[in-house]
Amino acid sequence: MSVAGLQKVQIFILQKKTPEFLAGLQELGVLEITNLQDSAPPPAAELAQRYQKILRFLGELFPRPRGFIENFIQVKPVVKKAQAAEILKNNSGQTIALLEKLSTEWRAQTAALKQLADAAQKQELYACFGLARAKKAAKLKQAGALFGQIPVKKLDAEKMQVLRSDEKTAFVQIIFLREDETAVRVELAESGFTEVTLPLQKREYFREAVSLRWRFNKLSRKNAELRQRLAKIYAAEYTRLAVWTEHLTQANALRQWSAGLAATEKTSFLTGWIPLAQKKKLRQYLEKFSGDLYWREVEPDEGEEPPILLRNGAATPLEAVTALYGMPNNKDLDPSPFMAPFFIVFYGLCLSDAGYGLLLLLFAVFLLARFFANLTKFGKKLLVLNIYCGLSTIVVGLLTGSVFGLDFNILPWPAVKNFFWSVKIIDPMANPLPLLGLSVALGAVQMLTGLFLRWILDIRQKGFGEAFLVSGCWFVFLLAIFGWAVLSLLPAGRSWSPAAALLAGILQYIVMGGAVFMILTQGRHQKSPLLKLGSGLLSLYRLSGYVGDLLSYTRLFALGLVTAVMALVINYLAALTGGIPVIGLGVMIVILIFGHVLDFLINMLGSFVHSARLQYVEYFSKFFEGGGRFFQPFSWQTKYVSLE
Amino acid sequence: MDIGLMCAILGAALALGGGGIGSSVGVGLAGEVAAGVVAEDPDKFGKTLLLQALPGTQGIYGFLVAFWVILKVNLLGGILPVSNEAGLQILFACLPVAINGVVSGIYQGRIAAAGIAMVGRKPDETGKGLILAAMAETYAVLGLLLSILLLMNIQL
Repeated sequence: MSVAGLQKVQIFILQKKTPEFLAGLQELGVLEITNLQDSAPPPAAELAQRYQKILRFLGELFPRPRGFIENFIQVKPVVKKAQAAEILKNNSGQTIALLEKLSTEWRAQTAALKQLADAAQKQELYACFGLARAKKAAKLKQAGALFGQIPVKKLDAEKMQVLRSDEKTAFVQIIFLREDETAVRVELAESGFTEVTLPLQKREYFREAVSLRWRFNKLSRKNAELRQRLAKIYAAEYTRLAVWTEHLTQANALRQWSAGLAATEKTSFLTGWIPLAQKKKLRQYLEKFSGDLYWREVEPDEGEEPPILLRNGAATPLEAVTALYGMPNNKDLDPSPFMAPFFIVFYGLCLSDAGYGLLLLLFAVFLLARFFANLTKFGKKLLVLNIYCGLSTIVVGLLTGSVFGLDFNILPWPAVKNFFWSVKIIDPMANPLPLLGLSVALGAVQMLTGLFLRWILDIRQKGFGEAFLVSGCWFVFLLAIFGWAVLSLLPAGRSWSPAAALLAGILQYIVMGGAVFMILTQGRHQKSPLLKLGSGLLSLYRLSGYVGDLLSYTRLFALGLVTAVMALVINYLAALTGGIPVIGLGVMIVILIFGHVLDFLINMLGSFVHSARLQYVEYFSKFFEGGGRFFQPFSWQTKYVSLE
Repeated sequence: MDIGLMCAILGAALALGGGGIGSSVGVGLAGEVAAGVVAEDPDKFGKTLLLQALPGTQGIYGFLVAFWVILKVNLLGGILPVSNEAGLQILFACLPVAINGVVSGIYQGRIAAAGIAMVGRKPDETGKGLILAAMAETYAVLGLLLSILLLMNIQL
């Protein structure tokens, strides 16, 4: 349960075998290849591009209805690997050729439809003036004629002849003398006149318009048929096309990657990292190519940091929280297992309602079951973590007597009521101090754990003596202070009180001794004795930082209270509306559902974020450095389907 | 007119108003940036929504404290007698959540907006954006905590 060991390997292979070799490695998905030119697949070859183009065209033509959840999880159709292999046995060239033909036809039709519609609209406009008038106007010699549209408000009845008009626009003819033409045009332009140039054609405008409309309708019927046909093919063939697209894209990428790995005329060279646990798998695979390749295990170069792969048992889901912060470096401990109990308990304290805990649990289980194949590794970890957190929330909720903020007295079933009453041990609203104290105490435990881990790490890196001076003494010092504080808060007059008093006395001396020790040692890097003492004194200032950290944990109590009280308030408001005649019940149900869902969602987010923050800021700062790089094995990356 | 009761109601109003101002401005700031990011890539809606929701909590904290006051003086049932001193105490107890709500809400909104812009470029780093925005919320939570602890211990 920590950072997994990784072995660096170098592989030399005959160039002609490289694509096949890489494809197998990709299938295996255990080796990170560090000298691959670009881990993103290079641009697709022509054939793959044809497939991608068709899929994009169809995807835009028939957009899939998207559920709300798809804003958070990318849902792709799931294809089993055996099924994919079956699909790849049959060539899909004919289908793609047919689809290309149909899509070209579709585009041509759509463009033609637009042209027809535009032409018809124009002819309809001309029809407002009439072909006969246009022909007459063309024959005028001394005078000229203008046709056009003008806003009704600007009409000048003396100069214009109105041919037709609707509420806003008038279609007018204007006759003028050639010599006045410029003046007339200027005047017209000022009044918002738009000229319409009437073409002299054989057919009457309105006849032409009717004929165009008729052609438009005929074509659009054909277009709809084609659309239906495309939809049918798309629905039936999507999986096949998608699998082929993935295959072709991937095959092309492999070719290009192989070329990039070339070392000499005949051989390729690649280097990478393999987790120790997977070495056997890799060796078995490499043996298949024996005769064509040479490989060896090597030591990392000086200053070369291996990538980081985390390996945990039950604490695996916590790796998601670690990953959000950043990977540990090679000197760090993997913090995932060390924060598991804290994170899960903190989350429970923040969400703090058994009803919401159950919702969270069901929600996470549902998403896992429904979208398993579509989830990334990170997503799966996050959801399993939410199951843990749901369980801890249920426990906290039962102990504090909060189940959807219900007043247990109104429950009609005595058995349930008694169960809830019997497991409830504390009422944070009547008596807030115990829970507030618990929050701070948990914080103290977490901070001490962090300091202890730092001490262990320092012992490993710096030896025992130096480690005690750097971090060990702080751990002992703070432990003594906390112990002293706890003992002095205990009630007096019990049978164990004298023992506690004795221990408190001892701790008191340790604290005082500790303070002197700090003053004497923490300035040891300074040169002059005065500065040594000064920095020693100043180092005690770190205590105020620790107190600040400790107070930060009070948020656990406050956030827990928020969820529980909000639930109460929602029930209270709902109960108030229950008395309204007729619609009361409906309003009550709406308030209950809407209110609780809102309370649940907001506080779910808040609980996660604040629990994580306590780990990152208050806990990690004590022992964790970070800055490592993810281990990314060379494996399949799909775009259109999820391979199972 | 009962001055104590008036003070208590003023306290409730300030608590809700303070949190409400902080959250409205914060959520608004974040929402403007979110709309820009979603316009570029509608698939990022879910991630930006998470970040936009964060500065919304100050309003809830304010509402919570306001409601606490309402229940304390039993405003919705038969109003309890509130002495002038108790009324002023309630008013002052409401101030932490009100003041912290305004300021932390606005600044949390600004961090969330920056985080959303970050999601636009690096969608995988949403978690970090969330944590950064949560840093500002600490002070709203502390304000809430103090207001509640004070209210709990005030005798009418």
